[in-house]
Amino acid sequence: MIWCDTGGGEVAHIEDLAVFVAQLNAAGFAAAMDARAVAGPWGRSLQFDLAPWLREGPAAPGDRLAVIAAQQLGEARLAGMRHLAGGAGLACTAFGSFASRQAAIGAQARLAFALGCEPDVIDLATHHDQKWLGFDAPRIGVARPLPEDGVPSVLLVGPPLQDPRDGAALIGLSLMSSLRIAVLTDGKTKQAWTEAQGHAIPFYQYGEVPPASIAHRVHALALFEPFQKSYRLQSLRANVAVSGGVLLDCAQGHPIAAEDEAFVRAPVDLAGLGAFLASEILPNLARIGAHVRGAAQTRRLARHDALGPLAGLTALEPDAAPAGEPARIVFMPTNGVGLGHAQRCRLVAGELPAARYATDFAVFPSCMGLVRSYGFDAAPLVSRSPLHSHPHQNDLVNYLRLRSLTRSADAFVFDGGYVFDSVYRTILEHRLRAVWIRRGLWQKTQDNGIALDREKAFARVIVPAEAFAELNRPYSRGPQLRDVGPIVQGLRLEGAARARLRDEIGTRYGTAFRHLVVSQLGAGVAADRHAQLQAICAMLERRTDVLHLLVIWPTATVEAGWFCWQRSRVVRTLHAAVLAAAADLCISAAGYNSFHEAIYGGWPTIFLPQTGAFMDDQMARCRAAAERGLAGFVEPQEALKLERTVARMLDDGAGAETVRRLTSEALPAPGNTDAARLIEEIADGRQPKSGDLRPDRTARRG
Amino acid sequence: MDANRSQEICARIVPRDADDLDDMLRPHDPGHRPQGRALFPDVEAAVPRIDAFKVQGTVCVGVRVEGHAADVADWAARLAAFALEREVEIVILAQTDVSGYERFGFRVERVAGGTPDLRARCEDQIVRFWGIDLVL
Repeated sequence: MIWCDTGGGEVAHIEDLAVFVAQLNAAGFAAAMDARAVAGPWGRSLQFDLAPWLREGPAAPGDRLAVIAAQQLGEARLAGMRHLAGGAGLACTAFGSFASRQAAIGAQARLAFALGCEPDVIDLATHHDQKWLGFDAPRIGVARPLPEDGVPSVLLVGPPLQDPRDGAALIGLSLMSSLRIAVLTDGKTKQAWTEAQGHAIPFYQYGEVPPASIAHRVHALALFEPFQKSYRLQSLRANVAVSGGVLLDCAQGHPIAAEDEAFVRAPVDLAGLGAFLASEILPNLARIGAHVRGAAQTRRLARHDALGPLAGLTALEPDAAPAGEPARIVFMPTNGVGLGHAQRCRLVAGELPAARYATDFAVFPSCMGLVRSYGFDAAPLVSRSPLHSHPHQNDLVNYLRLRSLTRSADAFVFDGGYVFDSVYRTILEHRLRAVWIRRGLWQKTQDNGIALDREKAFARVIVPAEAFAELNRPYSRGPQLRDVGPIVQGLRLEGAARARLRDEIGTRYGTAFRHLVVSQLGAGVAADRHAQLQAICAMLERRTDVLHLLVIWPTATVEAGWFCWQRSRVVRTLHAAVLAAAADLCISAAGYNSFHEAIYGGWPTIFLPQTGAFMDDQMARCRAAAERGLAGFVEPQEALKLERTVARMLDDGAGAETVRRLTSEALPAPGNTDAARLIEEIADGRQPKSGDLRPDRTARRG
Repeated sequence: MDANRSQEICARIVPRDADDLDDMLRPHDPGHRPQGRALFPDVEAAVPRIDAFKVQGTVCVGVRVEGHAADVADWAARLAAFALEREVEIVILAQTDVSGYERFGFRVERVAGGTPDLRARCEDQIVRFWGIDLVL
């Protein structure tokens, strides 16, 4: 193990340390940081940068310590290193740029005293060919195979975008079919651009992800300003170079190419860059890349010469999937408010051929039982905590679990509205083939900027359709998008099976009933439906021909008052669809899953929408069904209308009429199988041609 | 635990629980299969111990639960009283998908893993996440 630390305690030093350790690990070294040494009030991004590499000291025999920015060493950091050494001598290599030979000797003496062992000190300022590169930490090049098929990618670093003409030129570049562009810039510039122009062009900000996580996406790196002050950019440059990418100096006056022979001089304005790339670079990518990779400086980067004695340490073997094993796909549904995301994922996973694909799930605790009951292995995540100061604290834990769970995965499938940092970083870091199952019908007031920004990490976005065409709206465009029919089970119980189950229910509760009513109004997280459920229990208590089953989610809270009614029973099940299919009336929230199960199952239903600001537009779904006469629709505050509607459905034939209409309604065919096939293509590394998916068919039942 | 939340939990504590219908309904669900495993991925990194709650001085106590106990309402009442009087947060460390404490509104974390060692590591992550010093 190589323990890493920094001589400086400022945020910039800790950021450099995080990059250094990430680079070492990406290069195959087992490197880590003492968690105590880097504890601090860091921003969210830096916390995620650090999290994978934190370990508890003290060091074990045979471990080594690497210190960067050793010219900054102070008493506090030396005390931390002494604690790590734990009283035993800890071999150390220290890197820094020292003002004088005397300063280097001083650092060496202080480290020797703290660690009980004489350290190697490498003065980066004395390396002539690095006179303006890597003052605090040695540069390490991490080679990543660049995708050979498809369109080359050009990453523009710090392009000028203040002038509207530059913006227009960038858009022009993005329209070239011979290349793909992405932009790496500061947070303010990224925010201004995405607010004005949207997410069609992928923008990254400097600290968004470690350099090793995006370098493999870069065939050509175009720098618009000198980068010697940034260890992060130096590392990116090193990674691109050793991977055989092209380096372009687009800075005014070409100062980078003047110092670094690996760079090609390129136009400094975006307007001229497109033609230059098309005529000079793209046709010669392989040749220029080979030249860069073969340059003496690049070879030193690839050999990790700058690491000195550390370079020879045994590197980790990369993880390799055992031969002959089925491809492994990890699904991660967000629990959201109910269980809809998990239901959707298990339906799709169930369509994957078990002989060819092994599927695991990472789920929040409320979904563990559901996913496991359908035969899938599942690892629990940690839900958000309202008590912690930082709302992302749970996501740091989930990040570690996801990283580990997906280490040997062939594909990753995420189903949710918000792409967590843990999800985004795991995909990029492990270079996962990632699929996003993204249902639509977002509310107009919802801000999904972060989610759309992170779409760039996914190889494919599968959009399950709504049953009714007017509810389908595009939120982004591109070849990664695929529409499929609604992902739904559509469970029906026919004839004898339905009658038998109703008899069983009657026997269980010792009561005869003419009407079985099932209510499932959600988990109570988005909106408190306590009052509505009490109203339903009260109105049904006045009848003698009803048994009302109030369905709660397996891990939801249960109010004591619900147990007081004679005609209502509180029940818990992972198979609520079976119960609803046996009912004469279902009173349900209108989340994607509940809604489509009811419509496709042909269940007579009154929808009572959830209306949380962060949820899908359930009101729109309810209206669409009600306007077609396919369901009842009652708004949450309409308690009197709810009673009238229940009576119409049970007593006036509206329920039977609803079933008749549902049976004859033309609905798009379910997309479960298509979604699974689209995931298979990604897991297998196949590149489907655009539009090869068969179009949604119209299904007519009955 | 703030007083409102304690009172909400107390108000939900009754001996009656929702009736579990899975045994009756499962055979009618064409998708059901033998239960999958509860995994815990082997994580090398150390979860940073919580250093800041919204309310300074928040203390969390872990309660290890290995199954779904029959007298869960009695235990829930005791824990709610303990939380109210000692002003602590209760975190249930559950080794099953449903511990029984969820219905009252306690925070429940799932402890998973195929071996005792993995389950211990899973629990250790949760203990760090909540800054728990005492596990009952």
